[in-house]
Amino acid sequence: MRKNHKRAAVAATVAAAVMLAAGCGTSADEGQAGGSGQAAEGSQSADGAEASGEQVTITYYYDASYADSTKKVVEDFEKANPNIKIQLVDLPAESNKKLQTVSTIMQAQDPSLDVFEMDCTWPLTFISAGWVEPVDDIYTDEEKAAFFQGPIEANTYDGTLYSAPLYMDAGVLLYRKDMLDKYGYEPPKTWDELAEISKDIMSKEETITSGYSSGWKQYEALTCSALEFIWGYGGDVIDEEGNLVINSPETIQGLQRMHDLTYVDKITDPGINGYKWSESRAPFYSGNVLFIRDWPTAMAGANDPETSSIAGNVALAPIPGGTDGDNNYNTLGGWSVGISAFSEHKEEAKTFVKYLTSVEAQKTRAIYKGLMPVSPEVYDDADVLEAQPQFAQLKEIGEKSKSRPKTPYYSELSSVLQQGFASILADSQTPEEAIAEMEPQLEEILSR
Amino acid sequence: MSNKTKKNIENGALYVFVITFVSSILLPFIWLILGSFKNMKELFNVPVQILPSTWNLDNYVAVFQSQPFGKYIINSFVISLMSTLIVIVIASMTSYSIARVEIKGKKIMLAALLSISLLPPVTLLNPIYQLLSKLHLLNSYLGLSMALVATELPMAVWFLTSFFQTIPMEVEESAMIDGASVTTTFTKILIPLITPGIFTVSILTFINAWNNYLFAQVFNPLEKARTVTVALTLFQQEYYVPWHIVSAAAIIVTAPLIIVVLVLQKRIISGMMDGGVKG
Amino acid sequence: MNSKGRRRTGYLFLIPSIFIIVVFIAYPVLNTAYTSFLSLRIQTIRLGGKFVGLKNYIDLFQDPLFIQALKFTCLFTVVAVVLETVLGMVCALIMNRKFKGQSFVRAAILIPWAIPTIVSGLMWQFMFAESYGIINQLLQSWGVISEPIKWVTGAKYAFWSVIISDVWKTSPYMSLLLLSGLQTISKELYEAAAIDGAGAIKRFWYITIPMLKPVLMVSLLFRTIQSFRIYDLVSVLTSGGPANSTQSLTLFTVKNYFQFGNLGYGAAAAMVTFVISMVIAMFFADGIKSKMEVPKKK
Repeated sequence: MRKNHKRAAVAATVAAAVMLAAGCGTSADEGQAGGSGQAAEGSQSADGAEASGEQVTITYYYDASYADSTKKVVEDFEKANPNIKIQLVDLPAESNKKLQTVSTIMQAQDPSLDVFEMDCTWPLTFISAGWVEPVDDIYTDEEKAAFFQGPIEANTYDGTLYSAPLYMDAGVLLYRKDMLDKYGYEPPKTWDELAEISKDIMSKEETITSGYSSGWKQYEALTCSALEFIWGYGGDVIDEEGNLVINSPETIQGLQRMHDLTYVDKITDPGINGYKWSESRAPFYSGNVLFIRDWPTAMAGANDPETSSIAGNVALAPIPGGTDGDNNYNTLGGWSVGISAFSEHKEEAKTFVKYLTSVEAQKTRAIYKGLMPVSPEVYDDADVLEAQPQFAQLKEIGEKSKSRPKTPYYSELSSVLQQGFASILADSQTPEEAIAEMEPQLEEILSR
Repeated sequence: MSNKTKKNIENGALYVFVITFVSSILLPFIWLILGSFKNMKELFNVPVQILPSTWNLDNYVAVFQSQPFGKYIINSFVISLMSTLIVIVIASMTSYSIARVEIKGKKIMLAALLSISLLPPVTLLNPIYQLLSKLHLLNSYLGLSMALVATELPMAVWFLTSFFQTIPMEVEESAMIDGASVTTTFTKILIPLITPGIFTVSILTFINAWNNYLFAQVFNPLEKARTVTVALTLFQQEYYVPWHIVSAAAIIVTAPLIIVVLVLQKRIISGMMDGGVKG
Repeated sequence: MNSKGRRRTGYLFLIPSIFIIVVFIAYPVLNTAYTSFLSLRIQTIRLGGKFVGLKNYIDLFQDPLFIQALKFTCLFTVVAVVLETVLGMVCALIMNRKFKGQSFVRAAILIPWAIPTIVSGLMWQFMFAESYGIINQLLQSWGVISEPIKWVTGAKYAFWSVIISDVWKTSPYMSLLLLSGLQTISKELYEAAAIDGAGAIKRFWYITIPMLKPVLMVSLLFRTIQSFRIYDLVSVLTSGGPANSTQSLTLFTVKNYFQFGNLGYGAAAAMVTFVISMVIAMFFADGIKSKMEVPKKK
């Protein structure tokens, strides 16, 4: 039965062979008009195409939440640079999932990613991993000075600018203007005022079931929210020199104030400890909450009758401060843009990054999506102000934005903080106890 | 109590139970369908609003307008079908050997196969990504399919092995005596006999491949090779989840599977009955 | 019959599987095992890994978060699998009887299983929501509860909300598997037992259970392993909260591996999951054993 064995052997190996052989041909981009090449990392563009002036394709891993404005920016760029084509790649919505995707690509040292967006807390991690190509040489000192300095510093290490600030975000307080006007209140300057106003209006208005809402779920939002309370009373986690200073009466006072909003004043939304930002908005939009700590991009939804029952009745104010209201700092958020160290088209990528951070591109993002520019001058632009009137206020708020602690191990540091803050807010630990527990862990992380 | 009343009570209890059971299974899904016709305000209404104010397909239209969902459905379909076919071919060969031939190393084979089911899938991400990157198989149908084959193969082998075991040895012997070769016996006699089993495994594999998120998201990030399950999560934004659109998209992603299941359910169940998971 | 030829074919038929094992299984498993002995972090990845022996493992078992994750995962696996099996069994027994609408019911129960976990996670999150979720609103309007239950955010209920959504998704599937097993048991066995005077409970215990054992074992094996690696559901529904009370082993691994960039530590956590699953698999060895035997001539 020799023949039969042969046939069996063929049958067996065919399956294995098909998988390998097909590997060369069958990829999804067949049938894609103009086929941008295998993952654009590609066969075609790598063949020294640049020299002959042929088109180079750059992949841009970006936050799809802002697709409209980004597509407009890319369109403008491609018009001005016909030899560079940008391929947009959507990143998942959650910051952590974005990091997972980018990190996997970087660990494989895969050249399929050229330009990517980074949360403002990532740059140091990426820099120390050696995953980003410095962009210092594409900006003159004057150009660098024209940005807000907070975002610039977040992307700088050892005096070199490694990635570029794309847009920023600043914590703000959204409030029901109609309610505050009705009872003759001004937006609160301190947390105590906020609590008093809330209690008063909650007792008089049936629809207002809670005074205050925010994203206090145990994730990054909690760090952002809690830092504002801590800074408001003059405390901090790490000082300018990088020393751990979390164990201070000011920090404890701030955290106590945060805790008391729920347990003493009883004005917070019942679901607050479980809300992500997106979830905290729902009760506010349906008109049951007076104040909400959010980001400026929430304004658009709040005043859109499609999504909100309180359209037209919402206004924006700075985050309240501690005792006197002067320390009303807000947490700096926002995103940067970096170039992969493994990119095969670094020069083109730099051209693109330079454009992404230009005043023109910042204007487009501000007008289309209400994203806060990183250059102060854009806030005064007439077109921007016409499309987004709140920017007059935001410039001032942007100046009060403070960075989260700077360390390559930020994510781990923040996770320890979240755990401590969450146990305070669950009323299972006092601020003193929680800090005592966090201190050695934070110390260890900073000592690396 | 007469026998008849006893039987009636029993039947009544049976129906009560069945109705409770089925409704507890279906209600969440019906709630999702209702949600897909509402707008944001209706979804978040307190007190709850059961029915949408108007019945229209706006949310469904929005799904296809904001993303090339049709393309993603094709991608998902091709990738799921491809991995299912590969899994079936390989698994039926492997389980034939394990179930019907006296060979050494079966235990090692089964244990090795099972071991991929034992690692958290996230730890497979980096190694498989690096492999696909080197083979230039990222953002391709085949690359993702192969990764899915690796994760689905163990279950398929286990299932098919038990199907093969249900066939008496005599069937194969008489075929051999009639002069049929081993391969002919395999393809012409044994495979038709376990068709119901192959059917069941195909459905299982297809659905698992269709529903995969982790691999699809990391290995096929580009639009041209993106799957529907991944696209579904792209409606969410960092600070905002458009629930009404997500609900509609969820129905669109799930509907093809449910249709497949409903149409083929007789076959699936009979496949399972004919030997399914007989140890 | 040419048994030598058959054997050779048998080996040849294993080639594709071995190819898959070598390329897609052996490398990741060995790579993870190797990394778990290194001190390797993304932040210092340029310097490469440093061999530290068992340090990551020792650290793991001193890490309260890991212990908590281990406890949650074990508890979740036991509770979920037991509930799914019991519920699945009851339903399978009932569906094994003839009644009107039987085929509709069988089709309907497959729906939860066909819904992607990320969808069902989102769906349950929406229904569990404290103020606008339908579950709390219904319970309140029926007067069952006066205050909204903190399903996903309360320490007491988060565990159960994960269980409910998991049981919803998988017990119908389990019941279908068990049903397929039940239908292979011959009616004559029951009839004979009934004549001998065995009651319903006795018949279930002495006939159904032993006959169903092989099916049960394989279903249990795969369900247990799957539950033990739970990730998607907790990641969408609770993100591991509140206070890490629903953080599963896989979630812990992902957090360390990707979010913190602590590759060595994450790999060690993955290996612990791997080894425990291996032990579980061996526990079901009974079910596995019968797979090894070639059917005997009758």
